[in-house]
Amino acid sequence: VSGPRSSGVPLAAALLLLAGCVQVVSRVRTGSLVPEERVRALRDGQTTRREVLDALGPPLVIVRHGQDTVRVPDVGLRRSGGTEVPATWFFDRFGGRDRLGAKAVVYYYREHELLTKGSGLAFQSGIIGSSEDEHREDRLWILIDGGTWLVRAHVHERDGPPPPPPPPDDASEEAPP
Amino acid sequence: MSPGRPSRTRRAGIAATAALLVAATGCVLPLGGKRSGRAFDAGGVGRIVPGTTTKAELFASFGAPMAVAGAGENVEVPAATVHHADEVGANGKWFGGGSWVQQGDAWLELFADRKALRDAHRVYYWSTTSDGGLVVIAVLVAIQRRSTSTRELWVLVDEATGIAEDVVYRER
Repeated sequence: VSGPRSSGVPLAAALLLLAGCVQVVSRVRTGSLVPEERVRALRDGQTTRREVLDALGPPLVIVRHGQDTVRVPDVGLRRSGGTEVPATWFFDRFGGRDRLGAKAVVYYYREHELLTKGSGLAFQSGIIGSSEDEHREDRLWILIDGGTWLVRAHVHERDGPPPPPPPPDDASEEAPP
Repeated sequence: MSPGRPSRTRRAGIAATAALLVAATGCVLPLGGKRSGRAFDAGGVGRIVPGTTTKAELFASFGAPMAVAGAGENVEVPAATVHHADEVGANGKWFGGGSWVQQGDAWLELFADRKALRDAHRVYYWSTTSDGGLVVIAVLVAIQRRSTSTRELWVLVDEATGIAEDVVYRER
């Protein structure tokens, strides 16, 4: 065996060894949150209904003064089903329905993002590693004056504590989403 | 130095070249995207002419809508199918099926300040969700990025005339 051939053998062996093992780093995102800059652009007393709809799309639900309950869909791309929620729950964010008047309208947005981060080693025979899920959620209540159609107030929660339970007189209802 | 044996410098050069060649074999592969909902051509949205386009033309362009909703109605909308990685993103499961309940009033709100809404108005809804990404493979590392994107189309139709009166399209 000549010199050059013998020196190539360990190199080839090393390359084969390396080819059999790859470190894998992954990042998988499902769904999306409300863009932060669009929430910051909301101006109470100035932003119009049209500007809200153009920026955020249709609300998940719209709640008007006379409604008793609202069916709120589950969120995320895998959403399935929904929950019946007392309409008062939406107005309570702004001090209660009676205080707000008959023209009060609430747009409720809720978005969910699932970020899965993983790392490990991939061999030809399989993968060893781990991954973790990170759930993030946006909840946005926008109170709109049904006369002027301007935003009166808004509340934004991201990854915050879960919403409060329904008022005691609606205790028979399911928990809000 | 014998004439048949490369010098130490030359051997180092061969090794470096080999390493470079291996590194250069790194590649970028698209991850097979899965699509759910109604796959529709976004270019077709621009061909909807409010006040002119008929329901039949909407069906011809986009297929049957995924849902049709009017004022005071709650309608079932098929849920998207998405991928959920369970092991470093390389393996995973597809979750699909099911449906969610959509409030028709929320969709009608898109058009409420542009049209005087009537009882005959319905919102026709199409959406398509794509799941895909890229994997970059180098010598010792593979980096995967995958995400979902959704296109949604709402068309306000007057059921009395069968004419599309307004349209909203959104990508996210």
